[in-house]
Amino acid sequence: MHTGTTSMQTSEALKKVVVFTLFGLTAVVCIVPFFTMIINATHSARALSSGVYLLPGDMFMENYRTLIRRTYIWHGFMNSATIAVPVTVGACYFGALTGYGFSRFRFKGRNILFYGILGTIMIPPQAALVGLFEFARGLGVLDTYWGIILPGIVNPQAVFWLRMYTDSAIPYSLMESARMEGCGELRIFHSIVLPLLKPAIATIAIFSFVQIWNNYIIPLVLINTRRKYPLPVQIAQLDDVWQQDYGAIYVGVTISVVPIIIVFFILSKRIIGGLTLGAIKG
Amino acid sequence: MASKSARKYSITGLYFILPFLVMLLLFRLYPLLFTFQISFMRWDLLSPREFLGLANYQRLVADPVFLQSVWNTFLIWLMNVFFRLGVALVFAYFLSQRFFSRSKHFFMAVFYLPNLITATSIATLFAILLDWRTGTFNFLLIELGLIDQPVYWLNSAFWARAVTAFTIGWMWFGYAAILLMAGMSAISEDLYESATIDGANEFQKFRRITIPLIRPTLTYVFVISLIGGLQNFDIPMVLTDGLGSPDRSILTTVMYLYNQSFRNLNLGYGAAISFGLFAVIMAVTAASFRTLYGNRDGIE
Repeated sequence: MHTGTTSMQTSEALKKVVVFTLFGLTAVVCIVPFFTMIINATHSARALSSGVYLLPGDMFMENYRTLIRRTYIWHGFMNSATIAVPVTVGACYFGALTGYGFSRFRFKGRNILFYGILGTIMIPPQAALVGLFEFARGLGVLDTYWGIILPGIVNPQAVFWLRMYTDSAIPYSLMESARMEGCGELRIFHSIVLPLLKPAIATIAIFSFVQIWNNYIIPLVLINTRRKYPLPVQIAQLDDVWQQDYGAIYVGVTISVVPIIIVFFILSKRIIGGLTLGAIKG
Repeated sequence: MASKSARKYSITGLYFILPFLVMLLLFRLYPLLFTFQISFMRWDLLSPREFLGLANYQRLVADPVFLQSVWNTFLIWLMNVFFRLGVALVFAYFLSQRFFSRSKHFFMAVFYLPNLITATSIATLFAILLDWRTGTFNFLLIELGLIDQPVYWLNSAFWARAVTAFTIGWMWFGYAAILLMAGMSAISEDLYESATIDGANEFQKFRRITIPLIRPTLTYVFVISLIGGLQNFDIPMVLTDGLGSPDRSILTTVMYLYNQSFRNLNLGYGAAISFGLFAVIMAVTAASFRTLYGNRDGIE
């Protein structure tokens, strides 16, 4: 090793420049489609068919009016919320209830049941599609959100994570002293355990919400009224509505994408921190 | 006293998990078993179901469209997985370097962003950006002088697959990079230091220390990509007319399952496709987890 301090510093600096350039270019590749989407949403279809634009135009409202005249984009937004809110609340509540039950009580078949529930994570949701359709039809809930919401609440990952979190973060002594004072088991869960699980629940709520918000195939199968479709189905059908009015389509896509970007930049620390929850620890 | 309280709690514990179990049976397992039952029948929603025995499965293994859809699905996964994991590995390595401590979070956030966006929105966006006559992408390439004539990207089997594969890779490389980076951060600094003392260079350290020690994470990311890849639906569905055009080149297994069940109303056959897919995914998952845990004891 004959490298002196200065040349080592130079190579360190050179490495930094190379890596930052690489990362910068990749960041551009990640952002440019969304940037172009917003710019294009402000130009007319005719203008778009003749060139590239780097600056916003003044056709946004015009495109927007075309869009809402012919599509149900805001209905889609409301429909998605109508599905995602109860699913998220339900997945978190039952995930916590079940995870706590597994974590703090001994009963026959506990391990078999726990690993059985865990095993259902591997079942691809599409495998049950035909049966789910017929089940919903039999119950008379086709074209309603029940067939999406009820299976959505059953979230084995939430059970798994909340059991692990309860194992490590809820002291037994708290429950014991509450029991001494004559607290019922369900009340202990609701007024002592649930508040302590909040940080874990917040992370799970975000992922559960994103997953159900972005779901496409299940509503596509179970819903058959255009006005009732959630946002991903509305967006997927935008170019069926008009083949050519791309300005309006860009507006529609923008409406579906920008709120997610905004929420992501508010919650990014928690989201990225939560990603490694599901991964196996080396 | 002790046994009494233990018995009391045993019942209480079951009460806590009972609601979830009931819902799991009703809304997840029942539809699955029902699908399995339907896979042995002929059924078009209108006429009564008719028991066919194994006929749907016999048809499945000889159906060239099904086999093609499996091949397409696999090919699209193959076209992006090594690129995706390669990029993720290199990026994870740089992100775990000390000089990145300040801008690390920013880059991770930007690389991860596409993963959160609704897949159908991304596919719709890419479809119009890549449009033959009016797409911005073609105009950009013409302005840059890279092409003379607009290219009809989604009319070519190769490019349709490549676009699908790129879109999926673009959505998922950040996720893989973050997981791999977390794996790398868990490696003890001492290992690298003693390797440095022994005269190992950066690349040797990466190959001999980093890679072996993040193997579980690497396998996990690989398996996740494979399971997700086999369920590929949203993006190819939106990029084409739903039939996987051109020439069914991006018709995936789940698209075929959807089309047979809900467009052609061959629900029995669609159910058989579901279980064909299910079997493939279970086999692949089991095989991958055997590789993951099989050599745990260092017997290689």
